[in-house]
Amino acid sequence: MVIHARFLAGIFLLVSFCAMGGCGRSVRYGDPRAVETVTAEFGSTDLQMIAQKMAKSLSDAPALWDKRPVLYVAQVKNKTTEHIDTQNITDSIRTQLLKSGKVRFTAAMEVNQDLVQQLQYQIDSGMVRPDTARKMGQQIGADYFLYGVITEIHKKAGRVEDTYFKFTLNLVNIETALIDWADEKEIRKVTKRRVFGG
Amino acid sequence: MRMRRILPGLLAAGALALSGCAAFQNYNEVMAPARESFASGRYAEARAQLTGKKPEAEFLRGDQLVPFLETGLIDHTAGRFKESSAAFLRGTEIIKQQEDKAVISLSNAAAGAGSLIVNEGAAPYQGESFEKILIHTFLAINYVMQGDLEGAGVEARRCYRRQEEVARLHERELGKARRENEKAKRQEAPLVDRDLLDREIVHAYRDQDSAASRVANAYQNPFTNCLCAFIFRARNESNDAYLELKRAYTIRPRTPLLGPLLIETAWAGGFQEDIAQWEAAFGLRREEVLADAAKNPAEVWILYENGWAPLKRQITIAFPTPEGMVKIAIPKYQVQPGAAQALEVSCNGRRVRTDLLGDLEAQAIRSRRDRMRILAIKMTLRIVSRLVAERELRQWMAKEFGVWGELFAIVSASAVNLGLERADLRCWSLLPRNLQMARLRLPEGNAIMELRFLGLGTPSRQVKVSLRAGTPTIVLARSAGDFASIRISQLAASWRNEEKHGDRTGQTVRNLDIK
Repeated sequence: MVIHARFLAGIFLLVSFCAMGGCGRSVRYGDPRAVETVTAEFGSTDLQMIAQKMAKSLSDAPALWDKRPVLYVAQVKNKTTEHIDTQNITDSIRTQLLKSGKVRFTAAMEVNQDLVQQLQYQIDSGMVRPDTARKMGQQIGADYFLYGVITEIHKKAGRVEDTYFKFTLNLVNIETALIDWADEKEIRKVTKRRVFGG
Repeated sequence: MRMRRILPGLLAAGALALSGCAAFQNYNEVMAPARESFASGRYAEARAQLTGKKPEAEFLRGDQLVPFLETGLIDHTAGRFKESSAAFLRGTEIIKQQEDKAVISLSNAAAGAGSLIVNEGAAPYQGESFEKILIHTFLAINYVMQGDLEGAGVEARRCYRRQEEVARLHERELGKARRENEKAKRQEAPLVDRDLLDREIVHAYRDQDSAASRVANAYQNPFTNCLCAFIFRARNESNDAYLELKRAYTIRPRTPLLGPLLIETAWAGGFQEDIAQWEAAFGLRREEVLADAAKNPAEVWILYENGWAPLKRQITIAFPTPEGMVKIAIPKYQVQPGAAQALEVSCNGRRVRTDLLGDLEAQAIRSRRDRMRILAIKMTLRIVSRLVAERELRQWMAKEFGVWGELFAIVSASAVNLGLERADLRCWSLLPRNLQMARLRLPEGNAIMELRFLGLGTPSRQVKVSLRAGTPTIVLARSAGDFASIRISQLAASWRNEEKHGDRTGQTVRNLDIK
C-alpha cells in the first residue's frame, strides 16, 4: 500500500512539474521545405513531394514536347479519411509547370465570371479608352485538362499505424478524349506509439 | 512514519488540484441551463452558457472533449454548420491525442491516479464508443448541409474506419477483462469478490436489459451507414454506397427505406446478381423500382434527430469486502421523455415516414452496462484503498489522541468519503434519443412539402421546395420537447461542377423553427 502510494505521489509531482513547464507558447520561423513529420497525417512535405514528382513527370511527357499546349485543372477527388485541400496540390503542380515554360494554363474555368465582367466593363462602361479595351471572343481554348484522385489505405495494429497515400494524375486530350499521360506518387508513413511519454 | 500516514491525504489533494472541479460537479446540473435554452430554440444562449465569454479562438484551444461535443451539436441544430464542424473537429483532435498517447503516459498515469483516489470524474472524459462514431456522423451531415460532398466523403470514410477501430477495441477490452478476472480468481485472498461484484452490477442494470437488447452492440449504427451511402451515391461512388447499404441491412434488415435503395444502388453499381435477393427480402420488383426512379428523378432525403438521449444519474451498490461493507456510486442512464414517433413528410400526393435507424438510447444504455463490468473493478479498488487508509488513520489517531481522536478520524473519513464517492455523470447530453431517415422520390418542379412530427404537439409545417433531378433536397430536423427545428438544403446541380476549387457560394440553407 505504501509503495503504491509513493508511486502515485511520484507521478503527481512529475506531472505538476511538466504542467508548470508547459506554460506559454513560442513562435519561430521554419524552413517551408524542411521535412515535416509532426504527425502521420497528410502534410506539407507530402504536398511538395507530390507536386515535384508530378510537375517533373508531366513536363517530360511526350504529349507536351514542343507544343506549349493549353491546360486547365479539373477536379482532384479526395478519397482519403483526411480533409486534404486538393487545390493546394494542383496549385503547386501548376506553378511548377508554368515555371518550366512548357505549358500554358487557361483560367477560364476558374474565374470566367470575373473575366466576362471585366471585359464587359472595358467594352460597355465608357470608362476605358477604346483603343486599350480588350475584345470578347479572344480566349484560347484548352488542349488538355488534368484530373486526379488521392486515395488512402490505413492499417493499425497494436502500437503501429501504417498510412499509405496514392496520388494519381491524368492528362486528358479534350479533342480525342485519350489519356495522353498519367503518373502516380505513393507515400507511406509508419507511426509507432511511444512506450513512455507525457 | 508520519509521512506514511499523511501521504494519502496529500495525494488526494494533489489529484484534486490536477483534476479541477469536474470530479465534484454534477454534470446534469452544469448542463441544465444550456439544455433548457437548447430545448426552447435559444441556441446562441445555450452556446454562451457553455463557452462563457471566451472568444471563439480561445474556446477552440480547450482540451476537454465534452464542451466540444455539446457546442458542436448546438451549432449543428442552429444551422451554424461551419462553427459546428470547427467544434467537432477539435473534438476529434482531442480523441486522437488521447488515443495516441504513449503506452505509459505521465498524464494518463496522473489521471488514473486521480480517478483511483478521487473518482472517475477526475480523469478526462474519453467519450463512449458510439459517441466517437457519432461525432463523424454529425460532421458528415454538416458538410452535406453546406454542399461540401468532398468533406462529407472524408467523414463518411472516417465513420467506417472508426466503427472498425471500435469493434477491434471492444474485442480487446473484453479479452483483457476476461484475463484480469481469471487472474483475480487465482489470487489467494482477493480484496474483491469479482463474481459477487459482477452479479451486483448485473442486478443494478437488469431493468434496462430490454432497452439494451434493442441493439446488437453499442457501436454499430445503421443511420451512419445509410448517411454514408447517400454521400457516396451523390459522389457517384456506387460501389462504396452499396457496401454501406448492405451493412445497414445486416444490422436492421426490416427497414423499408433500404429496399428500393438497395435495388437502385445494386443496379447502378453493376451488382445485378444481388437484385433477386433484395426483391425477395422486400417484396419489390426491380422493374417497378427503376421505373419509379425514372419517373420521379428528384430525391428528398429526410434526416431526423428525434428527442433526447438518456442522461446519467447516480445509483449506489453495496457489497462486502474484507475491509467491511463497500458502497460504490455508479452512473446509470435514465430515459428522457419528449420524443416523437416519426417525422411524416408529404409532397405531391406521396407520403413517407422516417425509419428509426440509430437507436442512441439503446446504444448508450448498452455501452454503459457493458463498460460498467470493467470499470467496477477499478472503482472497488479505489474504495478498498480508501478503507485501508481510513483504518490506518483511525488507529493512529486512537493511539495519539485517544477516543476523541478516533471519533474525529471516523467522522472526517466519512465526510471525505461522502464527498469523494460520486458517479461520473458526464456524457454527450444534447444527443437525440434516436436518428431516423426517409427518402422520397418525386417529379421535378416546384412543390409544397408538409412536415408533421407524429406524437408531438408541434403544428405541421409547409415549405416550398424546388425539386430537380440530380440535386437531392436535404431536410434536417431536430425535435426536443415542444420545439422543433428544420433546416433545408439542396446539393448543387452537379457535384463535379460545384466542387471546382471549393466554390460553394451557391449553397443556401433555409432555417425553419417550430414552437
